[in-house]
Amino acid sequence: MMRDLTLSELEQLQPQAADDTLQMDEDAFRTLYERTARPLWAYLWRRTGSAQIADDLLQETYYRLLRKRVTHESEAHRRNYLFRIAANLANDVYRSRREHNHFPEESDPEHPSVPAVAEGSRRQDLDRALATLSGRHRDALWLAYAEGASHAEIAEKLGLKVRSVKLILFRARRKMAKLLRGEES
Amino acid sequence: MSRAECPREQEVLDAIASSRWPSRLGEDLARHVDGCAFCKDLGFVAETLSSDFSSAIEQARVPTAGLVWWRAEIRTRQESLRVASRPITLAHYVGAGSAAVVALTLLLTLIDFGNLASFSLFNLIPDSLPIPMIFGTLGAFAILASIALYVVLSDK
Repeated sequence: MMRDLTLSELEQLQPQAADDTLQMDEDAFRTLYERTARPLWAYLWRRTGSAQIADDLLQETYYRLLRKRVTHESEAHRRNYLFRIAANLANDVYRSRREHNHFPEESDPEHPSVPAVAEGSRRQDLDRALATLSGRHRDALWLAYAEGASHAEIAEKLGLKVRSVKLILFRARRKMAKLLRGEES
Repeated sequence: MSRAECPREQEVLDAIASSRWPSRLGEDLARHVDGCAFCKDLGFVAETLSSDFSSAIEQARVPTAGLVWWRAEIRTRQESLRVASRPITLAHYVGAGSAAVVALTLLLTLIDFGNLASFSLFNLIPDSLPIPMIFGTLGAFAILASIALYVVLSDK
């Protein structure tokens, strides 16, 4: 039985170069990919605000999954692991942007009050609100209401206790609602 | 009212999932949502994210599984090649360093004996040449060269 990796451990995760084989067979990979690629891309797109970066991170996410020698106890576990890799890659991009002070305008957490243009303003409002939330709040909301994950699944994916998820979702939702209504910047 | 839970949470989520939010909730649920800050926020946020996700999924243009697999294979091979070629690169440096040491030793020897002007291959080895130093250097070079050769010819 493999214990859950924490997010901080996953931050240290690097592709394993000791073995020159991929850690899945191609058919199993295809099945997993067909089920997960589009939601994962949508998540990466929302996190980074860039389709180009989402494309690159999607490839990198699957590469790391394929290279890392981990025994997954179930398909759900593999999918959770995949999400964590993606979340950590998105965090890396965010940190890198923060260090270099480079944010695309539509997802700049430092300037959440930039006026939205009429077209697509709802999406831009959402981008700003998501960028303002903490990573944990953002991921919890995304998993719960975009992907429709249960509290148990969210707990597994984010490395939390199930009973913590309810409270995190409550706080995140309240903050998000205020941001979307313009009651908080 | 600001509670961390509401017994009607699932009803609100079901209404969003079945596209009944917010206009076709039914009188009872609509009245409840009006007076419940929890359900109001829940419906607002969940519907926003849910519809955004649907729109993002429609726009997602992901590469095929085959392409992602092929790229991963190529990258894996490149990574293996890079790891395998590390000793070769090291051997190159060692070889170049050894050659430089031999050349420098010879040059210093010639200068030391004041024979630089009349240098030729035939008088390369003067009587008082420090033979042990020359042979020591050449010996070290030969050992390093054989190690380098072994590394180059071995599989990894």
